[in-house]
Amino acid sequence: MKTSAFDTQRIDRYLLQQLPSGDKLVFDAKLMLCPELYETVEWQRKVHQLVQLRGRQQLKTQIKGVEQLVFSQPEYSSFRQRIMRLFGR
Amino acid sequence: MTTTEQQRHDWLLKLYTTAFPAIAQYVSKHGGTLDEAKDIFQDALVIYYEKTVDGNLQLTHSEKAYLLGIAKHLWYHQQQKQGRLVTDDVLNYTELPEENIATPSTGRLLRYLEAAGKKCMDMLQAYYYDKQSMREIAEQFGLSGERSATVQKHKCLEKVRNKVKEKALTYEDFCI
Repeated sequence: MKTSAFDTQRIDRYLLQQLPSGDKLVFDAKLMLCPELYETVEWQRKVHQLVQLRGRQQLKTQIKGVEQLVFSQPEYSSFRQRIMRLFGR
Repeated sequence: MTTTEQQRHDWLLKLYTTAFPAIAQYVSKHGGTLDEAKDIFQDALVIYYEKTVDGNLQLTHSEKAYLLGIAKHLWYHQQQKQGRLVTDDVLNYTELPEENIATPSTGRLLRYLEAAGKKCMDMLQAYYYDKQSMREIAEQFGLSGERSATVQKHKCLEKVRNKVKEKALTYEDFCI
């Protein structure tokens, strides 16, 4: 059975804890009764985790880029000297 | 605040030049190295960014003071983990959650998804990680409006979910 866009949206709201408590209870019951829905929810959860990981990796790469900039460019030399002094360099 | 890559770069650069010296001073004072200070600051920035885009952060002090606070917790926690501290404090540490999903298969899967549809991954990331609004996503991805962005985002979600399911079956350590 193909998951409809509505289901995808509902699963998303469930995973993001945006369902009202009554709807969440109904959804939890459906999860127990329908293995196919359970499986779809778990795959969607994996996508959320992967996207989260990708986002964090890209942010870290961007921070590394900024770090390289301030530790190499001439306009940040006073900043650099200030930091180096702290570590006795 | 951080809707484009350039805006986020400027934000990070400002925080690096204003907040890093205090953190470096703290780490140096506690016997740490420059590389350790850089690592701690990177994690503190990630925590601060994620809390900021979540929209549930109410700053009572400056950004610099907040980042120093996170860095102190991270430093303390790291020292405890490495056995350099013997106390067992019950403070609720601010810690970057373990990236336990980051297995070798995850890396391969992400590369595959990147190749199969970078635009979809960018859009999902804009929504789920950077917490951009549908209006911002519509603008960024050249869509006609919020409704169109919502539909597109759901199509992407379904497409990526199906690809993950299909591909993950070949990776033993990436199953539900």
